[in-house]
Amino acid sequence: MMKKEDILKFYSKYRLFVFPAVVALSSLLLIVWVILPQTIKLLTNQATRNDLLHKSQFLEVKAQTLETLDQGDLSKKVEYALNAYPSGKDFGNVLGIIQRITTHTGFSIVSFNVGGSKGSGDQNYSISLQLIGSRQLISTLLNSLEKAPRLMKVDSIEVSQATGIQGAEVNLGLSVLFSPLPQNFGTVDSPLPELSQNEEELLVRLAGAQEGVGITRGEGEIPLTTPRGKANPFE
Amino acid sequence: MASRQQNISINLLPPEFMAEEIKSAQFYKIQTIGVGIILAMIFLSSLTVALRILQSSNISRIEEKLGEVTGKVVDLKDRQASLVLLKNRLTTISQNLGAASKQNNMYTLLDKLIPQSVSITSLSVDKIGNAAIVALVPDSNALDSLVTNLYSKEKNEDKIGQVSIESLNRGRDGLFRVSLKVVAR
Repeated sequence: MMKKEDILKFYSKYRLFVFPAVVALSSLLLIVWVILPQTIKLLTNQATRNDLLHKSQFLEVKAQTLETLDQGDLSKKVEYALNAYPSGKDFGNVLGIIQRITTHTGFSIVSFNVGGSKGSGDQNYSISLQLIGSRQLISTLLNSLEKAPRLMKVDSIEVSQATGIQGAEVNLGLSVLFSPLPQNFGTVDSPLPELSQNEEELLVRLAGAQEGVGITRGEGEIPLTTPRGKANPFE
Repeated sequence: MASRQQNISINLLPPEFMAEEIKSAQFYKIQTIGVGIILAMIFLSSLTVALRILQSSNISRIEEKLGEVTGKVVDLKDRQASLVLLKNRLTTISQNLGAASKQNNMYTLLDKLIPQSVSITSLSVDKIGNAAIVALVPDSNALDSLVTNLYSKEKNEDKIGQVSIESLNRGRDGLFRVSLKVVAR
């Protein structure tokens, strides 16, 4: 009881100082423990919210774009691209294409040798061809080989007069390109690649050229690698 | 006398009481300001807490939506993979398909530049694109024409850097046997 009276007396005497001090202390505590932390958290979370919103919008657009793509059409396009530039060595397919082109340009294959692969990353293997045909058609042969619906490049050319028969003997070194499949097909956050107008046109050309040569395959079928033409390509 | 009234105020309160009253008045002012400050602080605290709660709720909704749309994209990952593979292949195909190699270009050029009268015994183009020609030339005019065509920048489309005659001899049959080395530019 005495203590209470003392406190009241003390407060009455010094209330002009005690009250403002209590108000100041309370305000400081509220600012330090409530207002300031909450404000800081508000600001940082706002940045997080904006990031999340941006990511959500990006993924929504990505999902919509993916939904518009026809899986069947996409698979066909991938097939055309892989036929032209496969992930492995396709000797049978290449032999068929070369045989078809040489027959079409009037050349006969004397020998066909397959070499090893060179380089890493974008790889290729070499093919040595020995042919006999008309010298006038060699340019046509070379252009046809490089425009074939299967990526290959002429590495070396040797033309000489064929002995004993009319025509020229051609030794060609070809570099047939292939490339392993990419390791990474993109993550959820990665942007979708877009095909340019040129690439769409290229796909149409590939489809036309491959169907003409007969190397397209239907769904679930074994790829057609047996070439049309002579039974014995070395005749 | 009655019209002239004077108001005389006499303060009968003791001086200590006056001082006490002044002190009380001062304290009431301070008290009002203090209460106002406390109320403002309480209001600001409540406001920031309420805003945080609203913000958390908003973020939760956005995260939920993000989860849904991420699931959609994951379900369509096959299409993404196809697209990535397609782009990967088409980039290289478009660079290479139809683009004539240096060797092909060199052969085509030489085929165009060598006169019809010249009989080619052998023509080779190596992996660098340099060529070696062994030919039978009927006469000096044809030989002159052959060399001029190879040397002329207009005719060789500036694709030939250097032409050197490795050997030249004339046989009893009158034919020139020439061996040329052509270096690509």
